[in-house]
Amino acid sequence: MNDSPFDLTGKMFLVTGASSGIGRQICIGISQMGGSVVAVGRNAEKLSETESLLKEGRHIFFSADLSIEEERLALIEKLPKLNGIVYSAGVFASLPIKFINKEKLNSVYGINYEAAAFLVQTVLKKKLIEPNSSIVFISSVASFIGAPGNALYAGSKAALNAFSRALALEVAKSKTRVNCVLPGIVKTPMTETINQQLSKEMIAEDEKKYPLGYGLPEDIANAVVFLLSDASRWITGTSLVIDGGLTIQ
Amino acid sequence: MDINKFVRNFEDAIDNVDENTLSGESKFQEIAEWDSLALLSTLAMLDSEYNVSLSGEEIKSCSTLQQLFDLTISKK
Ligand SMILES: NC(=O)c1ccc[n+]([C@@H]2O[C@H](COP(=O)([O-])OP(=O)(O)OC[C@H]3O[C@@H](n4cnc5c(N)ncnc54)[C@H](OP(=O)(O)O)[C@@H]3O)[C@@H](O)[C@H]2O)c1
Repeated sequence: MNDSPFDLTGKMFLVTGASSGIGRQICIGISQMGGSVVAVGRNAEKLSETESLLKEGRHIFFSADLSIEEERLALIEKLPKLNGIVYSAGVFASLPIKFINKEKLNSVYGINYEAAAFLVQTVLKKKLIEPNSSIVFISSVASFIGAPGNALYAGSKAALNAFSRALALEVAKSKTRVNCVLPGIVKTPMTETINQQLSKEMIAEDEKKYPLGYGLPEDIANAVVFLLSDASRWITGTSLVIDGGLTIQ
Repeated sequence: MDINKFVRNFEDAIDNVDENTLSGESKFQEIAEWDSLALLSTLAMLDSEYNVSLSGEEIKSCSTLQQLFDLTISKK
């Protein structure tokens, strides 16, 4: 196993959004490949559920609301040296433009973009990341396709895409790589909440747009594990679309 | 809270619906302007004006605006 370029033995990754859905599955995937995680979410109970699903490692679990600066800094104080970061924390909002206000904008951009940017900035400033590391942002196909109600969410994800390309160039000297993963709809607690707003027929109709159907958290996590490993050492600045064929049509 | 204000809020939320064209008896899901954006706009209006969140299925279960109003009130 140790000879495999996909192996993560001995490596430590900061994973946000670790208490649920895609982020939780990424923690599981990392631990299966021998790596360890600093798993962050707000909900301590759900974080300990994640803990129960991991293989042994030097895992650290930390509850923090990352949209609050003090809580971000408290997390930073606890961080060991990292070999990578996965930013999967995020919220969805479905709000027609007529209903957008400053408060809604801040609540979506605050966690989806601002917290990501400042968290990574602080890790870099404090030199908590090793050379040859890998940073992955979970963006969304929403960042480049239009849908009614998606303006805020899509904008926050497009901002992440742009941020990651600039960052990729700024850290290239230390051979650290930065990539975005852009999922289509994946069955997680987040999409359950979105589906609450729709009727069953609308959901069934939407899934038909996906040649391979809706995705599962491991469909995203497996790609992230690859992007964290040395197997992807020449891949940086990309936006990897993982959407079961939705956007090739 | 009264039904007339509720109907005005609904008319206001949905694009291309003129003021004072609907009433409590209107079958809102049968109007020409009813689509997925109208559904999202209705949900957003209920949230911002009444602080109530309904599910898509609950909205679907209502036939008239009066029924939607009654359901909204019951969730307050
Ligand atoms: N599911 C999809 O279809 C889909 C598609 C495209 C992109 N994505 C993106 O993938 C990422 C993960 O989504 P998911 O489906 O796994 O969603 P999820 O199940 O709702 O998980 C979201 C995670 O973000 C965390 N989080 C939210 N706000 C936070 C805050 N203020 N501070 C700290 N943590 C916070 C949550 O922590 P707590 O629960 O502990 O608060 C949770 O762990 C998101 O960025 C989402 O935009 C998802």
